[in-house]
Amino acid sequence: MRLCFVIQRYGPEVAGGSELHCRWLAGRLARRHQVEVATTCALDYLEWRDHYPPGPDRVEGIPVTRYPVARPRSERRFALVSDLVFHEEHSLADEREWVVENGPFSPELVRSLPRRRDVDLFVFYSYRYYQTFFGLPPVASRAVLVPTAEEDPAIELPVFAGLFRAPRGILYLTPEERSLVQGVSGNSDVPGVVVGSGINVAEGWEAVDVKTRFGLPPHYVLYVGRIDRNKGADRLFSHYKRLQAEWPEAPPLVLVGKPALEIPVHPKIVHLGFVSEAEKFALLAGCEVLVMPSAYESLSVIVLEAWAMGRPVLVNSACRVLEGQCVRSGGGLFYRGYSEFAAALRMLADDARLRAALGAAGKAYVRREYDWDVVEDRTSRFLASIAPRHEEAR
Amino acid sequence: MPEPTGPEGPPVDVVRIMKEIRESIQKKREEGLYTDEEVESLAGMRLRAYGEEARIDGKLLERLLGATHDWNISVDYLIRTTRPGLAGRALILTKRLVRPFVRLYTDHLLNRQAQINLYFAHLLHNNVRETARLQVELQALRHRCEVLERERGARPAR
Repeated sequence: MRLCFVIQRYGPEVAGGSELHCRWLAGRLARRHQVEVATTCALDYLEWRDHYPPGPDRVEGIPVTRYPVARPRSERRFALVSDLVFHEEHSLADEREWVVENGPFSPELVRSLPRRRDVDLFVFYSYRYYQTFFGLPPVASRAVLVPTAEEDPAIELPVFAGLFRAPRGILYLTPEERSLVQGVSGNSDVPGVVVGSGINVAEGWEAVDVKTRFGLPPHYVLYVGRIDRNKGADRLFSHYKRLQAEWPEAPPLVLVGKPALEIPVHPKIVHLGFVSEAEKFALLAGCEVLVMPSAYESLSVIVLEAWAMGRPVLVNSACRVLEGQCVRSGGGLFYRGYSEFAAALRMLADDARLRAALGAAGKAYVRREYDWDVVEDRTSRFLASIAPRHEEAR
Repeated sequence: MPEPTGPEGPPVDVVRIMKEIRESIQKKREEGLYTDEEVESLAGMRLRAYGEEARIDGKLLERLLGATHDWNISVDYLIRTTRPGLAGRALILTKRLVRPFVRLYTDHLLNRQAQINLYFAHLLHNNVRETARLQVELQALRHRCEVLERERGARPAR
């Protein structure tokens, strides 16, 4: 089969869950299909300014075609349109305008897709971006959507209901995401499958002594990801500082990732910034528990990675995906508000046997459900089952 | 040195663990032992009830109770029109040309009004929060009195 992945940005430098999933899946499927990628020249998701040169490129052996972004995102205009569509009376045209303002605005990319008659299936990533919203409908009979939908206000916009009903098939990351999308769009008749994601454990992590390298104590709680309000980092800081005041022996909080908000100056909050993949896995293997305070996740790869390393997690139960994963795997606890956060973290910190049992359950779950061979096989079989015959839709 | 991982034993019932944690928190609440966050949530419920009583728009109410100030009046706005075609485009162009002159006179007033709105919102939210905190404190004191009275009643008379 000839597959073309369509995504907002693509490259090894690109940080972002859906982009990473796309790169991993494209890499795996390239072993048995002809795979290529159509994307923009953007690297940064805030403005989508062109970073890579337009035209053909190759990333990890996969052919990539990059198209320029005709107009970078204006923060002011996006904020005004967001205010309108999320808070005021508005029309469907306003919602379409929101998608345009959200970007990456690359009409050239969208126009190029219907011309590709040699492609059997297009795999579109992320429902909310311009290239999917405007690129999918003209090739709907050959389109597969990977919505990467989260429980945020955008999913409720009526303009997306039609998009979720349009493709030939949908690849969901979790059962919760499928329920969410089917709930808002009534698209249960569109063939879909929950494929999840595989986990790539970095080689050589065992050789990294993170506790010496970063001067960490023997026990610590870990957060990995963008240190951002959208990820619940501000709440994590306030919860942790209160917990410290009530329980001074609480293990330190170690943060890994780019800060988008001010990190409080606190003797037990340690920010390591960016670390290598091997260091990240060594940090995961050595932590008591990984905390994930985000309320908006379509699939938290870092939670799966913690489980792959046999470590328990403590997640925000406001995110149904995270809570669902913990319940299905038995690999972590989930909190609502400070009281539950404090009680659950204390329980985990005090009980090494509980930590070990949760970690083992998480590891078994990842091995069973998130092994790349399983994901690749599930995806391939689904794509083969929905692929149009050659005389169709061309 | 990685933390040890347990062998694959019987699955841990995480739902039961969280249920037990929630029950113990609920028990503390019944005794009037609320955390600041719970007092905050009580105050939020009260503020929400006042808003519903006043029948203000539900979406606006959510914004009023949110962490951001995006409910407040703003000097910046989108220029739009429902008129189609050439007339619509001409109207938008005219509005764009006029806007800087309008804003010259309105920005200062709107900014001041936004500050006043913010101050009153802050004042009222804090008042409701303080009332909720006092009520919780009263509940805890009542509970202590009841316990003391029970203890006194159980003690044999001298």
